[in-house]
Order: sequence, then structure tokens, then C-alpha cells
Amino acid sequence: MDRPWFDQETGTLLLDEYVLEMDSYRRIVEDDVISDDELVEQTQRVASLLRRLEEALSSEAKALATETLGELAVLNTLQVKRLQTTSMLPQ
Amino acid sequence: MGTFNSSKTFPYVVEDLAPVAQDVMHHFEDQDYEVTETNIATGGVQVSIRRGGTFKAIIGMKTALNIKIEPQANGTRVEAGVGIFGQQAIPTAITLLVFWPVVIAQVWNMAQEANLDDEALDVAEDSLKARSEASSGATAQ
Repeated sequence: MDRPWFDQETGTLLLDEYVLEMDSYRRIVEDDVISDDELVEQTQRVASLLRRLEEALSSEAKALATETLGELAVLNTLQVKRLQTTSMLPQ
Repeated sequence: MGTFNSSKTFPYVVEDLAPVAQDVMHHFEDQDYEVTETNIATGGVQVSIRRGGTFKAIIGMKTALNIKIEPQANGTRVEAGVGIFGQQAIPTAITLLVFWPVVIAQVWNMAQEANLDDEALDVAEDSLKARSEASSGATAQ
């Protein structure tokens, strides 16, 4: 998974492209139905990865990662709120 | 101006907006942009333009500068914004991706740095003005 986060030519973020290639994503969206088990499994996967990440990072890198994940969560909240107001997601 | 779009309403009424869309398409086609048009339910037309380097593909779907030309009560509204080539709405599957807002902002910044949004609005305005005048001249005769 040691791949660039940004397109070298355009500078655009590539992470969404990688998400689409992940087995976990493909498996979950394959049938367009997200079961309780799939949701639980994914939350456990994320929690486990965050734990490993926390242990692997230096103090400086951890501070940066904490800020990045926090800002990403804020962006995600904004996006969900906006999609809700445009009725693309259930309220 | 919206979050990731530029828009203006011009005081020109043109009954058939298809030729205006054609003018916008030809303008960018001459600069080697890939172009296409889509009819909008409101009676307007959307022109999509893209060229590699600025507009990347996301989930295999091509991003583009979409230029919507729509009739209003006393004029015509033109809006230029980032979207999917040849599509009026961005598919939900894309909008749900966590990093989509970052990507759309980056593509929009590149389009703005190239002044593509202003250029699109200017071309549409020139065409609307010319065709509006031609239409009123023909009516006067």
C-alpha cells in the first residue's frame, strides 16, 4: 500500500481511487446492501488499524495524524450534513 | 458565486439556447477540449468540457467543467462548475466518497487558475448577446 497520495501530474488526491480497489469496499458495496455484520466488521477493522497506527507513529507523526484524522472527520460531517439537506441521504 | 461554481445572469432572452451551447462548444473544441452537450429539463442546455491534465477521472468517470445555460424570467443564467462529463448530477456513489470534496475543490482550483470558468461565462455572454440582437432585429423587420 506504499502508493502516492497525490497524482504527480495534477496534484489531485488519489485516495478515493485506492478505496475503490480495497476488498473491504468491494465486498460491502457489491450487493448494495450493508448488513449489520458488515458495519460491525468494518468498525472493528478501523479500530484495529488505528491502534496499530498509534503504536507505529513517532510523537511528531502522531500529532500530525491526529490533526489530519480530526479534520477529515469534520469534513465528513460537513459532507453528510450537506447531503442530508439536499435529500440525498436519509435524515 | 457558489462553493465550487461561478454563475451570472445575463439580460438576454434567446428562445433557442441550442445555438448558444454550440458556440460555447466550438470555442472550447477549437482549443482541443473534449466537449459534449446535454439538454436540461428546465429548457436549458449543459455543455461539458474537459481536457486531460486538469480534469481527472474518478471511479472511471470523467470530471469536467459543466456549463449550464438556463432560461430565466428576464434573461439567461449561465453557471460553470465542476461535475461529471455529460451528466447533470454527480452520482451518489461518488459524493459519498470521503475525499470527494477535496478532489472537487482541487479540480475547481485548477479550472479557476486557467480562468476556464470566466472564459465560459464570457463566451456564453457574447453568444447570448449576439443571438438576442439578431433575434430582435429579425422581429423588427
